[in-house]
Amino acid sequence: MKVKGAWKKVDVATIVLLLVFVAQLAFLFYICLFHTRDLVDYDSSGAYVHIREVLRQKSLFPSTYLPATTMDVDSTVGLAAILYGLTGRIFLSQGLCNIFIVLCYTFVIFEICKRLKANLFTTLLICIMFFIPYSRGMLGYWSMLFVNVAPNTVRDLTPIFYMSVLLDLHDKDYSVKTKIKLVIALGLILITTISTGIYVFAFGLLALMAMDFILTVFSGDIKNFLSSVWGFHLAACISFVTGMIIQKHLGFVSAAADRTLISTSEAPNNFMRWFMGIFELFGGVAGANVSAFEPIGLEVLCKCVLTWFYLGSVVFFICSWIKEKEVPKHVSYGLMVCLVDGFVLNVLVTTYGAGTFEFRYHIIPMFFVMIMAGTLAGRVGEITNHLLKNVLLSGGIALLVAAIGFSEVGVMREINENHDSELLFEVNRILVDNQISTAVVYGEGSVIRGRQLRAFADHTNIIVANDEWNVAPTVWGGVTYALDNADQSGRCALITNVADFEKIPEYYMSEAEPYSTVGDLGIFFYEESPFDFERALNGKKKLIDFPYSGYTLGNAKLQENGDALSDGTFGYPISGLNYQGVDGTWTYTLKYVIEKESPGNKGNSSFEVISNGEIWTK
Amino acid sequence: MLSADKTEAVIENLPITSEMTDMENRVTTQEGTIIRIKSVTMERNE
Repeated sequence: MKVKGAWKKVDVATIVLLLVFVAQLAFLFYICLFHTRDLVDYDSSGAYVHIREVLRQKSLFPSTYLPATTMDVDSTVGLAAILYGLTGRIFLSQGLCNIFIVLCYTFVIFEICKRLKANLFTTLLICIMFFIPYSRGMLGYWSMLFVNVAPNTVRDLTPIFYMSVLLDLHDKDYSVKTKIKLVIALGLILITTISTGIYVFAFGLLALMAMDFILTVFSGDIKNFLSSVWGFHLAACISFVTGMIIQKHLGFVSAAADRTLISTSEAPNNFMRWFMGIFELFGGVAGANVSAFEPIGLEVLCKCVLTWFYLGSVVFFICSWIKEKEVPKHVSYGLMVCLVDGFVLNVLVTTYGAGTFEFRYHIIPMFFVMIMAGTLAGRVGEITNHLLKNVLLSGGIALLVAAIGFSEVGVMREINENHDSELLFEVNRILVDNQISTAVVYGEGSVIRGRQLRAFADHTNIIVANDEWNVAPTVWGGVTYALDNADQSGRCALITNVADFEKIPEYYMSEAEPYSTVGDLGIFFYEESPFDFERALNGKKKLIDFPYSGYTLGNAKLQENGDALSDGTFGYPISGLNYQGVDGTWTYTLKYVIEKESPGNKGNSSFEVISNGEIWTK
Repeated sequence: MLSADKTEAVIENLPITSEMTDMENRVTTQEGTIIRIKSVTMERNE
């Protein structure tokens, strides 16, 4: 059979896209396998702590781990824990999980495209669009989905996977594969709901159900509500409700549950941030002072054009819907997801403390938009004007290649300029070589690296304290079991930025042995830990408090070594803490030395435990 | 009572419940006594 000239060009374009996609995957896998440790950040360090706790307790809900804004179980943490148990290498394990996730996304895109009867060109185009390193950094598109610990990857995949099953059912495909996909989809809904509450349901599934509701009502036949599609929707609702009940039973409230309505005065500003958030997500808007003709500027320009194309495809399909009264099913689903998410993000406050728009909330609708944009771009093969078609194909592919190329150069530049992982690897080596069981990282300037160090430290409990010795950076997405002095047996270390050294109280330094510096971090060792970050009773079996652990000092002064020394008058050298009881029989032991005693008052000093007027004395 | 001959004072088997609030522990000294306080350990019995 003779192939017409125009289709020869399309075939060449498909081959070029195939090569681009293979190269893109190769780069992505390279980053996952060899640079995962270089991408550890403030948030992802908590996921590595989570992985270790899951492995240690052999439970997806380890009692020792305190989640941050979500329960983080709708991620690769379980799989990563298994691989970590097998390999002993946490970054390799996470990298392998990320590769698995990329393959899952590829499978879902191919499944959707199969239902759309899309050709290979369109399918590859959509895959390439999905895996471009758009926005990077801790909360960026790439980190959220495909590299680092990819915390949003499962929850953001769920709606398009759900749509894939819906398309199968609409096509009356009841094969074994569809049934397996259906069960997996329900499982994903359950686990994402347990982890993030209403997020996936509100941002994805609700719109898909709404679209089917509209289509069913407009079909005019109530029997259509008895179809397999509606059976699937019903099962999804049951899975969602079950997940909410389990989450409530676990006593966790995800951040998505705590939302207020946008005020009138905030609405215009929020709308602009919502709109610009789309460009931020795709990396299509620059930070301050970026030259348009430097590689960073060119990268932003390429992504800006891509973003406009994505948004343009939405406008195109809306116009098409108005004009032709009908659009492909995946387009109607996508448009409804955009409508619902746009509504939600414009009526609810979805910012955190800093007031920044959380542009990662755009990921779910933008997945649908990229599928729409890919199918629109795929129609270029239908253009009869060969010159126009060739220009569009060449220009489009050149734009994609440029966006990918500039982005990947940017990824490598950022990795090469970031020396934190080398520094933290070295710090961890010192801790391991010296058999340090607990290390305290102190000071506001070291909080981020302290949290990152938790990812590297396989054998040491890392406690991170800010300038005020508050350990919130340790427990927010972390663990609490080493906070009390009683839990810090064995050798201990203090790690601090040289600039913060002067802020450290004498009682923490009197027994400290300087060991070495790594970069701008000073490391000190202790034979016994002087640190204590928990006061009075809690659920633990044993606790130790020092005079500096929160007591009120009356007729006593704190000494350089942390002892409280009374001044020889009547009074209470240490008192207070004001805590709540914990059920059980407890033994209190005071360690002290009487340095001088008046003959007339010999034996009259006492140690007392008091509760609501009742006094136990020794 | 705290004794110059000892370095530990132990209050054993305190029946504490979760209903108890405003709990505190303290040391009381008399005129002429100088005491060095090192730590307080709380341990739940098996």
